Amino acid sequence: MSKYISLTAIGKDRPGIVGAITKVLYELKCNIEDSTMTILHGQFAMILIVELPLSITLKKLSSDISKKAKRLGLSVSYSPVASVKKKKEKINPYVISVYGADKTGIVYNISKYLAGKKINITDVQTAVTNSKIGKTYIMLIEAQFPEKISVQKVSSELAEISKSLGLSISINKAESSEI
Amino acid sequence: MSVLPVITIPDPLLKRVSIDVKDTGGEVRTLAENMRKTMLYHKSCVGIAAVQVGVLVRIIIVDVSLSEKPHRSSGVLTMINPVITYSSGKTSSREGCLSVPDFIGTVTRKKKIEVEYLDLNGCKQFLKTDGFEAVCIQHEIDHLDGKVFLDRVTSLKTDVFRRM
Repeated sequence: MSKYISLTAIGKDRPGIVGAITKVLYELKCNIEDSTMTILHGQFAMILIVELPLSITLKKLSSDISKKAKRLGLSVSYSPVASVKKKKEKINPYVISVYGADKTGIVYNISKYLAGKKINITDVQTAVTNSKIGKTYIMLIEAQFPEKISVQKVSSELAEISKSLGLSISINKAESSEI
Repeated sequence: MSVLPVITIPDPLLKRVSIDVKDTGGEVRTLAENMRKTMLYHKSCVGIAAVQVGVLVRIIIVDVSLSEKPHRSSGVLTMINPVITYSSGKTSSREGCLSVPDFIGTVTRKKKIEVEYLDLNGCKQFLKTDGFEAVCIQHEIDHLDGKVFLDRVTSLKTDVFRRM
């Protein structure tokens, strides 16, 4: 059994979800190593990487959480995490912006191409905006490009795919602002 | 004088390059005035390009004094055929746009710029500016070249936390 687990919970957004889940974790002396929490289409979603003390079993944690989850209407799942990697520098990061009229297959077609080029997606943000002329889908992808790849070639090949899907696409070198 | 409808993505006009204004006559004045009215109509809007109201000519209006946050401002800037003649430095900020509703993204732009343009009387003007005003002018000039800020996003995060 791993010392680390992933915990994902999702359910209709309401006040008290974070408080209820983290209360159980705190009382069992579980340490939250990393987390992301957001609202997706009205559903509150949380993904946590949690370090369990050796004395606490996953069964104990899940049974304590399930009581609260039921009351909050949350669907929760757990899985052991083999190892927790130390943070490391992102290699050759780029941001790919894709937008256009909403339709099925945008994410699949773009990600299939990127996977074929061994371009590693590290973050994706999507949004649908409504306007007078219909729904517009916006997808921003952060990805690590292999060192020897031609960004220009990727850019022109993605432009071809985008054209066939009626999308706009741009690639920019990712940057962090200095605060 | 009227508030004009603003076009949004994926309207193909937003991908087109606008053409230079040849004559700063009455038609251009009316368009500029309507663009200003349209900008004022939308709360917190600090800039507009002619293409956003569906006209493919190189006119932008910027007024960062309309921002909720205070910024150094040169007041209302109506720029015809604006050209950035010098730029330096880098700055990242979160941008939104009337033509990209409900979405904000982090964009890296030049920190300081120098711009040459014509005013409404057709006289050549020169402006040296930096910070938010420089960012807005670059954002609007991008519109004239068929680009929206989504084409320049450089980070998915607000950069408060750097995820590595």
